[in-house]
Amino acid sequence: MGYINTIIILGGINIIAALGVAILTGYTGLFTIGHAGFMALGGYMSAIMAKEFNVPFPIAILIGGTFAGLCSFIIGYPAFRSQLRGDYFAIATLGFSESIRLLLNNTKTIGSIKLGGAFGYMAIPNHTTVLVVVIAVILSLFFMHMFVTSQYGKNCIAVSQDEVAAQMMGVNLLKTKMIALFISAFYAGVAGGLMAFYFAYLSPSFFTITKSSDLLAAVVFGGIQSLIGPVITAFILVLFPELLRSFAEWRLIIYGFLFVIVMIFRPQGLLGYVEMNFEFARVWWNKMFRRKQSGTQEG
Amino acid sequence: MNKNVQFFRKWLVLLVIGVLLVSSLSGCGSKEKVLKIGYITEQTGVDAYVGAASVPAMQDYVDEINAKGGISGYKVELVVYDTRSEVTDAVAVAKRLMDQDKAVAIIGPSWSSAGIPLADIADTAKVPMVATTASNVNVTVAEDGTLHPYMFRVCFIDPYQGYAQADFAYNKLGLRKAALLTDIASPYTVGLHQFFEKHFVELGGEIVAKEGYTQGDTEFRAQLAKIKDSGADLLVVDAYTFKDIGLAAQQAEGLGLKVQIMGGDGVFVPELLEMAGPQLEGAIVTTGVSDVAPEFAKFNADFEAKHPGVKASIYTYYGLDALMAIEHAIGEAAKKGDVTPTAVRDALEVMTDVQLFTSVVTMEPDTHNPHNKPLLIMTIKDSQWELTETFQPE
Repeated sequence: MGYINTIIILGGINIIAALGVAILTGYTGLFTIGHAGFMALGGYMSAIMAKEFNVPFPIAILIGGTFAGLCSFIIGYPAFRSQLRGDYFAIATLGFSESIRLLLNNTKTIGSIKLGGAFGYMAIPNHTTVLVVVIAVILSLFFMHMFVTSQYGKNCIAVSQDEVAAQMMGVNLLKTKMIALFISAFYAGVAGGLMAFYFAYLSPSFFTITKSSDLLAAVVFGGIQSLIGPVITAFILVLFPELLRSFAEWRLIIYGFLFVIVMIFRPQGLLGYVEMNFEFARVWWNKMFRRKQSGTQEG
Repeated sequence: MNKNVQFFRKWLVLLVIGVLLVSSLSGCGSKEKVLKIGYITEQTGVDAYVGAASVPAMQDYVDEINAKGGISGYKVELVVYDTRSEVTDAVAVAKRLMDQDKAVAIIGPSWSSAGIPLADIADTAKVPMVATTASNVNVTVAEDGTLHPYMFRVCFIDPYQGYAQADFAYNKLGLRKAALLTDIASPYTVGLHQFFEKHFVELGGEIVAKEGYTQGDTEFRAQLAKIKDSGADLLVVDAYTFKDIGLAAQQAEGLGLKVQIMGGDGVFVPELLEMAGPQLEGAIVTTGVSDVAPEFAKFNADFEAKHPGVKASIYTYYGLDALMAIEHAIGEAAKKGDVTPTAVRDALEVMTDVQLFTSVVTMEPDTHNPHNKPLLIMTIKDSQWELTETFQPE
């Protein structure tokens, strides 16, 4: 079962990080290619908390996430004040995440804490199990769903649709974007923390631009303004390369090819603008297995 | 009619999902006495040359074993998985080898950032792992000094190579002012330079410049210009990827920087000579095993004839070394009538004076490193490797 557990754990961690990107890119319309940086911040912070200060594991994860969220203000405030948008904001996040990685590469010790620089931070306690990840994914999904259906979430959508119109309706652009970025970084930080407690080892080389672009791909591929889309794709992006393992040299080509196909035929993503609800499951269930019961209220 | 179609569709969907899951997630059930040996390597990505050079040779060797009737009657099968040089992939394939394929032993990984987390996984799953070129100390011995009982390696460790490089540069070449060009994201390079610096300064030398870059950089002129100004007479580039030292040498020539260049076993691949042979004339490269040694000439010729377009490199040899160590251990375990992964591990630990592909190896039981592996010092002459000296630890 270890292998299947690994896929579930890695997939679950990817889902949480992708949810973070979904709120920012999918709902608020701000592209990011720097979420690996927030994962690194959250991961290192929660690992330090648990290893050096014996903080209980769930609290360490939350501290890591909050820390990543607070660090997001460093880039968020100046970027949003100067109205960075689209590609420009994406480049800013990329620069931020690369500088975090370089900083970690060059930080051997902080006081008495041996971060290890490029050698990586070792001997982190091992806490992440399938149960923990499944609970974390359910909680993340629940809170994210609450957020996007709240007034704040609607503000985010308004900002992504038309900033000027949103402002005229009384939406505070700066505040809305900062909240979205904070939550987004918090989710990435939590994912980083779960990763730290799964590998029991962290190295700056985990958090490269590849990781960031994988997360962005999950959201763009899964669909904008949708939670269920990125959730499914984030998991598929972990599962699919594993299913194709027997094709070794070909799997990345197949993977890339599918991306191109989806982007050509469904530019809004597989489940773009499809909100998360489980109505389709009930309809499907009725169709498949309960054909005799007619007269379900539809429409 | 419609009912039938719906019924059919329902079962078709379930069937497809079921087949996909079963076929992909479960290893094929083994009927006869076949032992699986896993190999975690890079077949795609920047380090794809590692897998390209090693997988065919190891598969050939496995075929050879099976043609001879297997190891003590056990047929072996090599199961190769690609990691793209990503640690998450390495972890996933290690788990797959342990749980789905029920591998009796695993070869790899080739780099330390993956080796360190995998050591814990090997300990938990109780499947022995033999790293090929993961040379960081903490791969087999954890940071707090405890041994990872299931992790082994067949290469020498970073402190030893860094020490030897400093020793040779100071005592044999008579160089006193060294400049270091370090890949700060690579534990391998950082480790080697740390130990080089320690010993070089101990001897009385001076480090006049320390410049950094990160993996994937292709522009070193800024750092090289500073090194030129520092008046260094030795430039140490212990890169993990041969492209780095090749590019640095090409750009150093353009800047008119004339110093002794030195590299580690990470760059000891034939591709380096094709890339920057003339620029690296006279450069020193340390390595654990040489592909130009006369005893490998026949192997190289046969290998290249059988696999056109592939050249044997140190990754071929280290892969074979690990495979032969496991072959020996399975043989020993089979003599006792018990070929479980734990028995193979026990045999690996007490391995003494066993002829592997490159040399006779004794495993140190307290560190799981090969004991006193000789270190070769190679010079590049006319775009060819030339053996200058063999360095034996005292």
